[in-house]
Amino acid sequence: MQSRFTGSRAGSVLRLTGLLCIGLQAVVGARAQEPVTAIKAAKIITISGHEITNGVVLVRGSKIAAVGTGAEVQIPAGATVLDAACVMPGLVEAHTSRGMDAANENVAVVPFVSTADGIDPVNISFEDALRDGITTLQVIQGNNTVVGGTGIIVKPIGPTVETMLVKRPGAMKLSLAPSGGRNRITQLEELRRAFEDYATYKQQLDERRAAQKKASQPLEEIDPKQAAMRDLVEGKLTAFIYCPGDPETLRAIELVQARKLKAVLVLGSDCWRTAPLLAKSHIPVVLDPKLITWETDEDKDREIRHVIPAEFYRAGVKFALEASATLPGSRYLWYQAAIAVSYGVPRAEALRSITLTPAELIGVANRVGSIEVGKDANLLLTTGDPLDSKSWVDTVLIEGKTVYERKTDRRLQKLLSGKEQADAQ
Amino acid sequence: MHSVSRRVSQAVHLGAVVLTTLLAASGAIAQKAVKPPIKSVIAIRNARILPVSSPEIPVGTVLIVNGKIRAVGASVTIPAGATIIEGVGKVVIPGLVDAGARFGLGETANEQASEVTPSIHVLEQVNRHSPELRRALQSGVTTACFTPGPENIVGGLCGAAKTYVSNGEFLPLRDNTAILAALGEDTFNGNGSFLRANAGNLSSIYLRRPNSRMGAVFELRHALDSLSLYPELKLVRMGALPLRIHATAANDIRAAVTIADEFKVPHIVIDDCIEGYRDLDILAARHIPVVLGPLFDPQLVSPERAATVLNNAGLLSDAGVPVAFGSHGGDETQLREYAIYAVRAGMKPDLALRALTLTAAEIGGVADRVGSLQDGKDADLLILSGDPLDLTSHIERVIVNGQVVYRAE
Repeated sequence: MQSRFTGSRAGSVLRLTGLLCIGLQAVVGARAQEPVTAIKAAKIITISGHEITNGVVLVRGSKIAAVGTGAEVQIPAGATVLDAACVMPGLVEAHTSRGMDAANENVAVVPFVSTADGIDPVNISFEDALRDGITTLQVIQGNNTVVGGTGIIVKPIGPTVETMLVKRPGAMKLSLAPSGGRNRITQLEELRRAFEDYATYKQQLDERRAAQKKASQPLEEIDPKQAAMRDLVEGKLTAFIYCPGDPETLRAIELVQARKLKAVLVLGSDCWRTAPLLAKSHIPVVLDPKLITWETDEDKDREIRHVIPAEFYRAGVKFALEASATLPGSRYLWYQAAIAVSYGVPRAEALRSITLTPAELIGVANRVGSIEVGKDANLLLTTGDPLDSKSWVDTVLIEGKTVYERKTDRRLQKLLSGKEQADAQ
Repeated sequence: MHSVSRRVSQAVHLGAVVLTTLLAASGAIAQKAVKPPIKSVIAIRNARILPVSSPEIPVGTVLIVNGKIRAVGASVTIPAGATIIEGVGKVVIPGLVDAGARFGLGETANEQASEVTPSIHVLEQVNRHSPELRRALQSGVTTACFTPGPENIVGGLCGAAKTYVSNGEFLPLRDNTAILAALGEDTFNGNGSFLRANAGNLSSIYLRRPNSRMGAVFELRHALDSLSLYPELKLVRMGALPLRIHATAANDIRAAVTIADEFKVPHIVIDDCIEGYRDLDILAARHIPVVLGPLFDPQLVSPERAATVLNNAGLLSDAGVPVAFGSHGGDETQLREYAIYAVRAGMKPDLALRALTLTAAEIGGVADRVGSLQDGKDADLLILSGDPLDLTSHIERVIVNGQVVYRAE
């Protein structure tokens, strides 16, 4: 057990904590084979329920064992006690290409590829994810390939894909974006053909299998190249469909309804006009990292600021926010939520859109996204309210283990102090 | 610590006068008087007021008469008949000043005719119908200190204007506030490709110098030495106008200071100054003001900016360097966020707010007109739903010359 605390990021304090826990186990006996951590916080943002003032989150092993006010939750003797101004669930990113140096395959239809084979687990963007409080992410293909392949759901702790893995496969990435010299119509046609090709294959396979069954021969296995398409068609895989604009969004809605797909639309920044239609069809969305688009009102010589999450909130669409790899500010999910709040999205809704909602969209809401008993202990201990830009992520727990501490984050210290070797002081 | 900025600001006045005389024939200076509405009295009351030039007033009134601020305080008598704006729960601050703006210039921010173009007036190039001006205004920027782009060694004359355009009338505040020069990669990146593209024709007008960092320094030195060719540069050598030098990397910042010393240029301002934290002592000892921006992420920048530090603004301002923010060709709607980020990384909130307003006005040479809530200044102010340095607060109203020019729905 102790060795599990000696990851590269865990300092000597942690190791001591581990030892204490082991000491505790001897006293408490069989039920407490697992280490217990109690996080006392001035504010607990549970997401699934009310915010709790002066509360305690109790972590046993990798799971949340209890949550409530200080009066409700008894801290077992010998538990490791952590203090925080605020504790909230680890943030969840439903759609990202972090760690992928080539996020798009050039061939238009490649349902059989998986990002599991393309991730660089020690890419700095995972370290940044942890630093920024993101504990669960779906690494999925980029927006250029018509049938892009499947993503995987990971936690940002390497050094291998295996240590990162939460769930595989994640969703199937589809894209209606014009790309590589192919226009919108060609892309849509390509997608239709991908479905038809699979249908033809399936029909022929069924016929062959029927013949094999008649002849008491062993049944032919499905071609591994077609298995992912089967899962998509049969609704076992969720489709993440990228739509750069309103026209593609309309086609995507038709596609989802006609083929009865389980789908999430990944929208470009100019898709807000279709929000009411999306609400009617109950399709959830992942919003573009660029949250504000401007439109010129020629009549009034006035600029209209469209705040995308506010448009979708008002329309009643379930949405998750995404962090950006290129826009300053938008790289932080808390920034995205704060911008949403400043333009009228209720606080609870904004916080949900970076935790529980994305967890639902990638099918891991039973494990992460909120502080509830039985869920993975993926927790952020912050220096203040997450929507206050002055707050910092102080400590990150993933499955009960401390995987990040700000006080030992040398890179951050260097970026703040300007000293070439911050630890030399 | 801001005495230098004041001196700069005084020098700007002098420079403007000298230049006006110098360039009168060109008709370049079109200072239009702002016509205030007749006898308009507005009082914003019961609001939290951050005047910047004086301490915060937890609950107070701002009185505006004919487009000018007349009184700011906790107990201001509101004249009968004044238009009342109720400010309970709101925060009032001066309109933001973008200390290094290039929005509204389209593709014309860098003149391609020559590397040294000190006589160009950037204010003449601002498209007053540009949506960017209105977007900046709706994001709280009421004054923009325009500069040419950083691709020419000497880019031209800077000038300040309001972002609000009334009936097609652009409101220049003051032209000829500084001359912009530049060092570093922006001045030579791309010139090499011009050279390669025209390798067969070395006399081509597209053959541009310099092609290296040292070449850029040479060109600036040469320009400051060629006063008969470039009479405007006499003004910066006399100290009548500040020389703003766009310098990003530490070696360019050093080169800028060295050149200023060499030619005894009394007032320089460093624009961009991303590696200023590496030269804190030099900048602080000489009280050289800096204009930081645009907002960027240290992960996502060019190799020249790779060693950059999140807390540049905080480290510089703590050392006593006057710091302002400028969008410098970045997103014109994010100026307030620069300060929010700077505070997150360690800048003192009062200095961050000053950087957005008064320090920017001082560096831009318009602090007598804008930048703080003070008796006699233009009534350019913002009413916010909460603290200006809180990301979740938004701008409810923008007031320019005492007129509400934007209201959030």
